[in-house]
Amino acid sequence: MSITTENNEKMITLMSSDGEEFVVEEAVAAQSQTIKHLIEDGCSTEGSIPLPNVTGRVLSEVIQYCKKHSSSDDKEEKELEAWDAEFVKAADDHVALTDLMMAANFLDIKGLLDLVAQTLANMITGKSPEEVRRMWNIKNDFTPEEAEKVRKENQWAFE
Amino acid sequence: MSSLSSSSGSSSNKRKRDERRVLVDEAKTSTTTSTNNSLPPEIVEEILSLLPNKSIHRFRSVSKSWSSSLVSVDFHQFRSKSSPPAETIHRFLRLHSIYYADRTKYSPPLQSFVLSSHYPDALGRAETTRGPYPFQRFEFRRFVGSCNGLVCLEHKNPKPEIVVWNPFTGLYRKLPDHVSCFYDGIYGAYGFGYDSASNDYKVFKATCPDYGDGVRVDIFSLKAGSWKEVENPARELRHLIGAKSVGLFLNGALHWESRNKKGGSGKIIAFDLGKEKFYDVPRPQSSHLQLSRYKYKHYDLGVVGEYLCVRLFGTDHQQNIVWVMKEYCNDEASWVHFVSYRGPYRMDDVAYVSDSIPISAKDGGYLTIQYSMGDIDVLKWVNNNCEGSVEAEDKQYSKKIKFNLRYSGIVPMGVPGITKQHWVGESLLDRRLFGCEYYVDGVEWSVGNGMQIRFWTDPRVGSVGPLLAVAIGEVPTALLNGVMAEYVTSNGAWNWAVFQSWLPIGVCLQIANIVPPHPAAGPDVVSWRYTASGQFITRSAYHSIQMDEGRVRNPCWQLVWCLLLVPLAVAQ
Repeated sequence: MSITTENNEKMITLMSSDGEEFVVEEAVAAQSQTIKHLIEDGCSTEGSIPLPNVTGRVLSEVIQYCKKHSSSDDKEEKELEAWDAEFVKAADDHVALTDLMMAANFLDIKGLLDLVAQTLANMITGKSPEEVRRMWNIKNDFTPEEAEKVRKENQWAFE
Repeated sequence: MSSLSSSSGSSSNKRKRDERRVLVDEAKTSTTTSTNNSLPPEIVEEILSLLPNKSIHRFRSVSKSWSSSLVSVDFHQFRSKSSPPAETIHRFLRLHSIYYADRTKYSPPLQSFVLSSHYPDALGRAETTRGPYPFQRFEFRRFVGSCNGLVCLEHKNPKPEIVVWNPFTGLYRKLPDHVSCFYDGIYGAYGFGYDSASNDYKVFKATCPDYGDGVRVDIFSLKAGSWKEVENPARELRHLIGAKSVGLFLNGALHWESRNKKGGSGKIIAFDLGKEKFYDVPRPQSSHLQLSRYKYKHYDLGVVGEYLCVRLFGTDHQQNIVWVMKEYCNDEASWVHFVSYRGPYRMDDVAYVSDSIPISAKDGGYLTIQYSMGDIDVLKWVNNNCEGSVEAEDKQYSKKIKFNLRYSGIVPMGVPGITKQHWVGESLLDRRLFGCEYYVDGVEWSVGNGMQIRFWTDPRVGSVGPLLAVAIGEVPTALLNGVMAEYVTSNGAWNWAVFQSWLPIGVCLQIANIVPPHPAAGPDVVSWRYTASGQFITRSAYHSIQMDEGRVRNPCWQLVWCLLLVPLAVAQ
């Protein structure tokens, strides 16, 4: 359903994977290239836009980001940067950040994707492969020989 | 679910949520969270592309899929999202070699690279990344160019081979079907650059096949993965062949200063990498250039900020004048004088360092940048009110202009603000001189306590050396910096077991003739081998100058003339 508010701003309804509905201004939703294309293709005129890959919890965060970034203009760059820093800080751990990043990737919001990717990259830069595996439950599928070989090849990076 | 899901839950508690969400909590699917094992490869790549080089290499051992993600991290892309804008940083890449004295005889064993980013602020901040040089086994020939953080170079494997290498990720690509321009004395010109229209990197190669009149130009497209001949190459290209061979990349085009018939600098030729067409760039008015036989015979191309610049230098390389082109390719009048400075450096030598420096001094302001180059401790270039000077200091000897160029190649990473795209320098000789091949020949060590001479890599002791050049197989890197004293047993004899397996028997016999170092023998000293006393005499070196007339004016000689060497007799 497409609602128009008093100040003539078109509203879009987004539905998360867990059935939660969010009503946002089109300009906010269009921060996402994926949604923007859906709107352009006329998908938003009837009912809500289903987002099967994003939970309500994550979507609310994404919308928070989009709202901030659609309302700020370039002059407030410094302030926006500070806001971004707070935003990723609030996301608090790598699991929440990873969820956010996957949503940003699916929704194609470049600014958010870069922001979260950089935060995660900073987070893991000094970590050991074991720690990284633990963070994301990654299975070490190297055989002991292979592991030794890879480690040897990249030995200098461990020093 | 794993412990990760519970931490996910706890973090979500901190967030304000719509109540409805709780009702549909069970509907939460596994695809929505990262708690399952499959972090999508594109996400992994996105994160990994932001990591420093070292972390990238370390994380290759996380898992097979990470390892392959790290290989597929966009090869062409040099991402520096986290870095300040590229134009504010000077990036240099150095390939470290152990020894590189006489390039006609030995291949320089390059060991590692150092990537340094210099920030043009008063503090002279620099960040460096180090890593092993991936092509250690091959003989390095030259840099073909550099652009957006990618480095294009040529080495022998055993035939000449061009590779494009991303030192930030450690990935590289070999170009197929390459026949070297310089092979068997056939001269040519190279270049490497980026065409933004097609988002493609291209390698330029101009050759003069079979010494004939014709010129052949081939372009390799990294996207297409193949060479393509450029039809009807410009006739002026003949002047390009034999000039400084590596094109300067700017504004989507490669630039060369061609040579005129008398060997002086001619006009500026450019090649548009997008259109794949040649065009001329007007050079400064001759009256401005003062190009003459007596004063400024040559110029060199560079980039200052985003502007093309030429640097004129006299035959003694002492006086340097830099002009910049304010409006690219407009006309002669768009060239303006930028800065003049004095410095004894050849363009091929250290000069590129000073060339890159005026960038931040666009307004003629004050600028100090310190470069730490290998063992050269300080290289300072001060530009104040358009007057400059270059200083270099070797802390070890507390003397000025005493370099230890312990690398054999250096190339500014092709970002705006970098002048010389190309620099292949020679390496050290005795830790006291410029690395200049012409007099390396005459310098030798005489063995004292063996604490100074590096066993594998230093130039000759008597008739032997450097040993690395004659070694069989690969000498472990750990050994390469060991000094001679470490190769002697406790009772004062050569410790053959430590090194003989890497050396031919003939060389071992020569070593047997050298008296091993002894703690009581005093320090090792450098001496001049062409005189009986070990003292440097001009006359004794004269024959080597005579061999190549063109090199007489090499400024390095001035350093040799004043070189103080300890007479051999004193050393013994």
